[in-house]
Amino acid sequence: MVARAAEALTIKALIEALDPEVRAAIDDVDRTLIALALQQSPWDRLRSASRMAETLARIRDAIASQGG
Amino acid sequence: MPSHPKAADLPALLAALCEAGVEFIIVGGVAAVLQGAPITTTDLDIVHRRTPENVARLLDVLLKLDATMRYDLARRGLRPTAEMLAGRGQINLSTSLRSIDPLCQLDEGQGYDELLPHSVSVHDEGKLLHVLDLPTLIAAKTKAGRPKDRIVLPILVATLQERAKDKR
Repeated sequence: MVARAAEALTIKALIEALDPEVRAAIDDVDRTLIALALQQSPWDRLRSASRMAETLARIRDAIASQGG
Repeated sequence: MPSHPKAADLPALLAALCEAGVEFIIVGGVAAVLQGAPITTTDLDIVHRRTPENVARLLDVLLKLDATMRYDLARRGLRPTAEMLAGRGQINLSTSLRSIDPLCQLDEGQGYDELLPHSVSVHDEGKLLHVLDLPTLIAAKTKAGRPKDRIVLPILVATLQERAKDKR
C-alpha cells in the first residue's frame, strides 16, 4: 500500500517535470502495444525490437537505393 | 577498415557481454525495451564498472567483436583502449554485432556503483541483467531533452503507468 502510494507519487513527479507538449502526448500512446510487450519475456521483447529495427533499416536502405 | 553489418543483433551483443562476465548496467533504449516499452533501437548503451579487471573483460569482448570507433570520419579503424574505458566519457563503437556505446558515466557522478541502486535485476534465459529502472531512465531523458529523447518520453511514462497497473 505504502509502496504503491510512493510509486504513484514518483510517476506524478516525473510527469510534472515534463514540458507540456511531451506531457500531452502521453494520452496518445497506444497502450495495447505496451500490453503486448508486457506479455513477452524481456529477451523476447529485445528480439522483437531488434527484428523491427532490422526491418526499418532494410526499408530505409531500399528507399535510399531508389534515390528517394 | 572492417565492414560491420547494418542489421542489429542486440540480443547476441548482450549475450556476449554476459558470457564474458562483464559487469554493466543497461541504459538507454534497450533498458526501455527490456521493461516493456514498444520502441525500436539500434544500439546498446551500457554503463560498465570501471575496475581494472572489469575494464579488461569488456575490452577483451569488444576486441573479439572487432570494435572500432563509429564516428571516425577518417575511417582509420581506431580501436577502443583500456584507458578510454576506465575514463569518464562515452565511447561510440561499431562491432561485428552492431553498435555499442560504453558510457563510463551516465552523467557526472553517475557511474556503475551510483546507478546500481537505481537498476532492476532481470533474470531471463539463464542470464542476469542489471537494467536502469524506468523512473531513472525517464528522469535522465527529461534532463537530456534531445529530440530523440522527447519522442520516446511519452511511451516510457505510459509504460511505467501500465506496469504500475499490472502490480495492482
